[in-house]
Amino acid sequence: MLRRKVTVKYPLERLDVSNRFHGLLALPIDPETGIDRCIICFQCERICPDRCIHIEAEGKGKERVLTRFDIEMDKCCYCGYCVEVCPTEAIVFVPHYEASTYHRGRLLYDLQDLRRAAPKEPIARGIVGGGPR
Amino acid sequence: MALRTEELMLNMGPQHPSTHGVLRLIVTLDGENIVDVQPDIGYLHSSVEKMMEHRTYVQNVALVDRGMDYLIALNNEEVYCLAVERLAGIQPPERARYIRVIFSELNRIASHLVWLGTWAIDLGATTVFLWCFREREMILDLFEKVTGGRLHHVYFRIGGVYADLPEGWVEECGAFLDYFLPRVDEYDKLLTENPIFLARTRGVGKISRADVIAMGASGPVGRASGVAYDVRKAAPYEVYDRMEFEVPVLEEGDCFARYLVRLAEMRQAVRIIRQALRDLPGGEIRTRVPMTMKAPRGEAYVHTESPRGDLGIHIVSDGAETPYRVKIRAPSFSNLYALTEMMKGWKVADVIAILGSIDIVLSDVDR
Amino acid sequence: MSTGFVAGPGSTGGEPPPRRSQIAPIAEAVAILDNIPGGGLILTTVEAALNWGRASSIWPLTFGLACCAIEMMAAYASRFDLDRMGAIPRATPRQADLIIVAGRATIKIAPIVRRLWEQMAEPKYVISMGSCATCGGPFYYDNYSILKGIDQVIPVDVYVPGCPPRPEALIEGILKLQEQIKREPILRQQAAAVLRGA
Repeated sequence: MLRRKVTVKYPLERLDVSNRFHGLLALPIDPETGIDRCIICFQCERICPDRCIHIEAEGKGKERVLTRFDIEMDKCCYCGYCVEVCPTEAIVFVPHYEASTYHRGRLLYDLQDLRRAAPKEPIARGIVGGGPR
Repeated sequence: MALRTEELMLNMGPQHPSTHGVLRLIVTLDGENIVDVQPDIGYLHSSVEKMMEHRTYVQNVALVDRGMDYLIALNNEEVYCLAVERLAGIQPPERARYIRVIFSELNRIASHLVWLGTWAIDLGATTVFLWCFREREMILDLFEKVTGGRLHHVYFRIGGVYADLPEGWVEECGAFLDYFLPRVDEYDKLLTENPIFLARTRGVGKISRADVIAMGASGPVGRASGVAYDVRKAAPYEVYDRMEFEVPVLEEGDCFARYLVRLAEMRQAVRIIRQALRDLPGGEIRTRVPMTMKAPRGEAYVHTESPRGDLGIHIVSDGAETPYRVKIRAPSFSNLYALTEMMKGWKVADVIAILGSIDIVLSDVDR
Repeated sequence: MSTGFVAGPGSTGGEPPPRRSQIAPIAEAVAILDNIPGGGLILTTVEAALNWGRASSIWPLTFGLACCAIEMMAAYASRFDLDRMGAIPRATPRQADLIIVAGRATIKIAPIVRRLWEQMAEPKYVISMGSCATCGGPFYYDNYSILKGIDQVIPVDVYVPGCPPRPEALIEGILKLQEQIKREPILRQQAAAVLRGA
């Protein structure tokens, strides 16, 4: 009876998830360049066991720009291979997990979503972050 | 004068709170007595063996977590990585092997806690469920600090483990073990001398030693019937040959013996983890293996002692990036065979107690 | 979808006699109230009170398929304690309002999930928990036995991503479902359904 209570009153108080936690994926923006660090090497797309990453790029050589970076979060199995193979740490896990939606299509995260989900603006798209898009 | 009654076929499952998954049992009853039990499986067949043929060796680590027994993701990763390492002749570093032992034993405790909690709730003891999951959450916290996942980790890699233990984790794990060992005594106090629990389990669902061997049942089910077989002793893998531990064996072969064996296994697991934490060497954690590794032509079979029994994996390679054929020897599948023998002659109320006591996971049965 | 159930002798004896539903007078009252000036406001207030009660006592069905079921159990257990949300697990679909599809559904189990959903009383809700239930997840490609998303069989209200989702993520999904329930014009819907049927 005198022991500490184990129940976490979830929406009011939260557990601290570990910094290695496999939460949602994000493309953080580099403050120096103002753009993400992706060098379009397609390694994450190739290693993904669920084939849920889709990358397209335009241009050649140094002018190559990312036109599409989609992650199907509904297909993702949060294994972390994409984070492991990325040579520039462009794709990272963020310690957020609240992303339930009313429509399955909203679980397709495009480039803007992934940049927005990055640590600078923490909440991806949970109830705290202002409801559904 | 004995009253002649007709046999009744009763369908239990696939949606039933006590089937531990989606298992359907076709129970043939004569009055209240069980005449025959036929399990109908395949409700969770996820064709993981076929899928593994389409994914590379590295990607498959993520698949064995989910496709095989989902309660023991780290034990699945261990047996898969060992099989690929034997196939490709890779030697993981010493530290990685100790870490693997620590994690698979922690997972054994977590799996037994889930079993104890759900079985007790089937028998009407809700407190045990809440207590078991309280301790299990602590193990999951330990997992999350290292692997980043709670249930599925993708932590073991071919040739080692993914990341090193964070600062202070070893002390935390030791503190947890000090906390956990008295808790096992608490479960013991709560159940072992409980007359209702004893009435429902002692002597119920007996299976003889000969039947266990004939059915191929292994793990705690076998050891509760007097089969002193543990892969960790019989064919040591990783660093189990350096560990001191006992294999609990009982002769009774009933539900109560299976319960006692699992409780003793939790205590032994604590003992193994303590030794591994004490002897944990420094150094590398991972041999360099390319992400697009190719295994040489050949085949390999590795079996380990999972919390359910003898878990084996057979990989055939034709020299490509993906396995040619994978076969998983699932312990739950063989243990389910023994169920029919155990249940014959018992009352219909014992179905739940006996089914819970063999601790099957349907994902392991169907794969 | 044959499951071997044989209809009893009473169910094949011709058309049942037309019977006026017991709630038909209430439905008519709702329809009248909705049309008079100021009545909509009363109706909305009553609905809000009703919905608050419904949202605070969602009873889920204890139905687990695979890995996510373990996290669902963890959500019911001591640390997360889903009972705080009024979600008390029920073992039979007749008493349940919500089915949490936790885990991958095979083609063999799909008709059973559908049947369970059909056995639940209206209004009923579905949460698709985890990647596998949402779209097949890791089992989407190269697979012959897994259903590509439970929404091919039953309509889903809330999708919870994760593999498996943390218990907190499931609780968040249930909170989201509560928000949806609180917005529903339940009385008007039921009145319309009753009047259409009468």
